[in-house]
Amino acid sequence: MLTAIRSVSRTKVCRSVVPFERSNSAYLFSHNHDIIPPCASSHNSIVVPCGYKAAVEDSSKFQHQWDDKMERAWLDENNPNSLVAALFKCLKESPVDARKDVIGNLLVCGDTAVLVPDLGRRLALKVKRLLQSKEGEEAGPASPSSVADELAMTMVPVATQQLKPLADHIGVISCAPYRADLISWVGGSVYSAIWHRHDDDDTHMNWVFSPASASK
Amino acid sequence: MATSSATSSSTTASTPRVSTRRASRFASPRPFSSPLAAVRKIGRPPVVLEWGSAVIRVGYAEQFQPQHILPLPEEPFKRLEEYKTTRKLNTTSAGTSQQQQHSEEESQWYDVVSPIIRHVFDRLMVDPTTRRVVIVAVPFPVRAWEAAVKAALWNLGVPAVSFCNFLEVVPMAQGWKRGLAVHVGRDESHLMAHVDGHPLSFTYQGL
Repeated sequence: MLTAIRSVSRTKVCRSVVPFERSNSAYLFSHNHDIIPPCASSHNSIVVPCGYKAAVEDSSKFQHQWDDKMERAWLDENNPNSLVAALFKCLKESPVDARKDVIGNLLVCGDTAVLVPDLGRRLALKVKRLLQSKEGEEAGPASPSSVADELAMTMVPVATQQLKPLADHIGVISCAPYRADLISWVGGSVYSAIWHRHDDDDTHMNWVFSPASASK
Repeated sequence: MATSSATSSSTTASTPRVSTRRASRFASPRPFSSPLAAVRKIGRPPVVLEWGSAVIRVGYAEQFQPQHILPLPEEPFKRLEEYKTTRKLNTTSAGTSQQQQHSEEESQWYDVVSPIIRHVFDRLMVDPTTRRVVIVAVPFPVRAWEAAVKAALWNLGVPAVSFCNFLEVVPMAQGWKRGLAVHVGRDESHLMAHVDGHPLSFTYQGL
């Protein structure tokens, strides 16, 4: 059976939009966090995962109280793998005229947004504080003291000087009326509800037909 | 000449007003030639399957909450990681072609993915041949995973499948066009900016 699958997949299945080298979420389905995943951004450096499991002591237990490990994992500006550093990079790469609107509508969703409800507010406050601070325009540790710091030393620090005028425009929007962990599913539902009724030539959805139906 | 013109006018008067094309449109329905034609004709909403890092959310389009939230089993993924590590050790000693490695990785992914997808359709209690499937997954997924999912769906008889990433579809749930979507999952985080309804893929950051 697998031989059949393989023969089918060689001919029709393996049409991927993204080349294999750019597949940057190889660790995604791995539940083993000892394995360091490839960086999902466009850079080729190696980073450690930044999810709920990486930020709590015991991920099997529900932990809703904010602690230092969460602070270090998500909001530490010296950690190159934190949400703050990623947000600065994302802002810096976005168009200049749209940055004000982009930072003004910050939506934090996903499973962690349910488990740690104030993550979005804390993230916005931290970013605002960093942008309003006068010193430390270049993010990055002074001397490496851990693996994360060594990685940070190898990376180009994000210059926040250009982003300082955005400090007054930071805003977090709520996921309401949907739950933060379900909003991506609802988005997919709305998207497909709109476009599946259109003809296949007119729809925005990239339908890939099975070899059996295509042959008929 | 006069006779012929009279004949032609009489034939024009006797022809039915309803054209042949319209008559065929209201003809009795014929059976569908294929499952795909049936899906097109009936227009059933597709199955929406969000493949997260810890759970799978599955339901139908046009609804506002998933029907089922199914946990992903950890054991098959551990086995896959073990296979990958042993595979890396073996490839350093004995060189194999890249295409061969990809096909082997794809078949390993198929072993993991196929029972999960069968379980999903079992829980939905729906005939897979009657509905298309929309898969909401991470941006830039692993190619072998994508190929394995397609193969598993097509072996079940799903007529068509479409992939989209969850950072693209998050604004559609609420209707905003400019903003920054931050998705913090259980294993990883993703960020992407949206401007005027367009997801800017060059701003994508994945952690």
